[in-house]
Amino acid sequence: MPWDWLVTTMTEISRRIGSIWRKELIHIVRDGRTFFLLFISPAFMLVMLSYLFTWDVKRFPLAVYDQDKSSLSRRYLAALTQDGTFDLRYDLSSAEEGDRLLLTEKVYAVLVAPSGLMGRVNRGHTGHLQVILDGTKPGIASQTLAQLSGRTQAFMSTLSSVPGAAEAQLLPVDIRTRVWYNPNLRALHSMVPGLIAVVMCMPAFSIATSFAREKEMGTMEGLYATPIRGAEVLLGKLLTNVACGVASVVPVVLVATLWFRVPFQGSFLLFLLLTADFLLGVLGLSLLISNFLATQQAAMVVLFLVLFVPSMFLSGLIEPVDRASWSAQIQAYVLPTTHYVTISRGIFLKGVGLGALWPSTLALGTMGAGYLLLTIKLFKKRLG
Amino acid sequence: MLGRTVTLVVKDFRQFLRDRVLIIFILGGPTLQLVLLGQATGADITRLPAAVLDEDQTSASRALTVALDNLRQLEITNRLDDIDEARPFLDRGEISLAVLIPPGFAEALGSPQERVSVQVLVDGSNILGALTAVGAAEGAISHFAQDSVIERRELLGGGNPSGPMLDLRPIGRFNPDLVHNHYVLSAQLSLIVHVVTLLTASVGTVREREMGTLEQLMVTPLTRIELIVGKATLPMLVAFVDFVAMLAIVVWVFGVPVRGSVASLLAVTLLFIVAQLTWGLVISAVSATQQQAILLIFMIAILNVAFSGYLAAVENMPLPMQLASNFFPIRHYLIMLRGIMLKGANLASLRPQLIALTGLGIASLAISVRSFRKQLE
Repeated sequence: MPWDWLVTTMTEISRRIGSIWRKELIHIVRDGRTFFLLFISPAFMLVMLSYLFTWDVKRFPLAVYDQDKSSLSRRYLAALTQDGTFDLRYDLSSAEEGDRLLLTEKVYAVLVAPSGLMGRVNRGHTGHLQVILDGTKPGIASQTLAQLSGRTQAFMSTLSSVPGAAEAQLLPVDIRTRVWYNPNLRALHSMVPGLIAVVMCMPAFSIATSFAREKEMGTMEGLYATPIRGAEVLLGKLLTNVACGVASVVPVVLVATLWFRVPFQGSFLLFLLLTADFLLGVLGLSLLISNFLATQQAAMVVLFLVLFVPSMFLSGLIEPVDRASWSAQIQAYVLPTTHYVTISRGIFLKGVGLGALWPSTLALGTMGAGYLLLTIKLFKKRLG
Repeated sequence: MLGRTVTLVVKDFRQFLRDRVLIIFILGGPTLQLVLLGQATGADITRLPAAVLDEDQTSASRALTVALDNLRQLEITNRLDDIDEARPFLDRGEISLAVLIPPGFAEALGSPQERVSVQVLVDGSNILGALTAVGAAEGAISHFAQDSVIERRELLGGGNPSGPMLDLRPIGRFNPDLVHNHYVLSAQLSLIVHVVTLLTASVGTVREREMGTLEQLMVTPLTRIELIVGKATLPMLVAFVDFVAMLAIVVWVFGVPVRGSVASLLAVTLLFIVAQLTWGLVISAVSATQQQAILLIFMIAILNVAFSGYLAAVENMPLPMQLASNFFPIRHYLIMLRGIMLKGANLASLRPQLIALTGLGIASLAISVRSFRKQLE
């Protein structure tokens, strides 16, 4: 009977995959350190990485060289430091001092109030304040400048005769900006869900090393000698690691929502499902790569360069994917992480479902299936 | 004594040279990565997709749309017919920003009595994209309005407004054009050197432990110091060669200047590699398998990226983290690297960092010797 045959075969295959599954699980659980590292490392990394990407700058260290020493410059400086955004760390008495502070990165900006400032302003001219910024840190430099200009504007409007302020009032257009999904534009709320995509690359490392390790130790040959087929070995390994990965995303989500207080708008079940989808894609890629590599060391280095570094910088996590460059776009979309960044931010912040996320979901599923089939094909050849 | 150490080094090199894939990736990989990242992150954010809902349909509203489209940061990819269309586009991430120009926009520009609200809707889920898009759009809209006010006043024959009372004159010291590349590439240089050092220093030794060949080394007449020196030579050389190769690319391909002395740059880098080696050797002492070592390297690498001050300023971290950052060599090294490369500093002006790095290097050697002894017992 064909039906009986099918049932027996399927039972047989799933029994064999199950035995690989058990073997893999024993490998992970047997050693307490490995177990701990595998389950906790994504959550730990998320905590560390999130502190890294907290761009909500609260304080700017500032050095001031007040040559004018007038009542105007003193009032201006007092207004600057009022709300604690600027931390007036150094009061300089020469320009060289400022240079030295910039050199050793004690401050990133030096404000110079030139002598005769108050005189000029009193005569009705514009007084020029010099801001010397550390150009080697363009991000901080432009933030500092923006904050300084804002405070300077505010200071001017507190003074009585202000020619500029009246003009600004007259502007016929007012701009109403509404930020969706992250109303206060908090860097943390944007970065934590994105970074989950990076930390969930960890299972890719562990599957690659466990694969390479079997080759290094010669236990892979032991598996060849069993009736278990190549495809079953690979599938067993893949499923174990996907399951462990999904388990380790739970503490990650807890850290994100309870520790960092990032809102979780969407469905948790969908998040778990799409995490499994991502893990299929990224673990498939990892298996494909480790198929070509003989040692764990090589697997580690290659994955770091091919997966981890691009995931950080090209996945749209930090800057949106560059639409001006074809190469950047291709690199971004063949990288599973890019799609998972979209999914994670989509579910966490936008609360969207498959209706909006299906392109990413499909891309990851296709990648996973494609990589797995390719690996099985190559793996079989090696056996023959 | 020297002879024995040399033998060990030669053995390590043979082993290293045997793994072709590893060599290609350790030496070629970082370089390739640097080129990719230099291109990817060096540029500013440009051409963010945006949509416009033009309910005014006048020459003024069309001129504003063109002005928005002409911004480097934005590109108008969609035109909306209804405000409700914005939401699905933002949900799917197909646009980063939508601008809604209300009816009566042109009228308001023409008469001093009327005012009108232009709405800007932004996808805040990517923070840098959102900040860039909002900044660009708000800037363009207020410029547009300002220009129209000036035009109107000229038509009415009004006088020129006087300048502001105070204005800021920014000077970008060391990098007047605020070229982003210089910052990113110099930081990448230090990060790649540190990862390569960590990897080669720890994984090689852990592998010997896993394979059982470390025990064979232990029973040879090699002393502990010889063993450590021997084991440290390969990672030092690999990391140093990597650094020189990447420095060449950063300078010649990307045009980042080296304003200070190259000799002191190399000397400081060597000192950094020595100080960084400890972390590698400590990892190799505490991990039983390569898999564990790799996971540990990852965590330590992340800490290093955090404390290097590359992405987030260390001053904004909680105080315990600020204090802890001083124990990470990369914190001091990156200041020196940037100082020598971009600011033309000499070693004398970087004395505090030099002292800190030297101290960490010495402590590092002491810790390595201790951790290796434990293994021998």
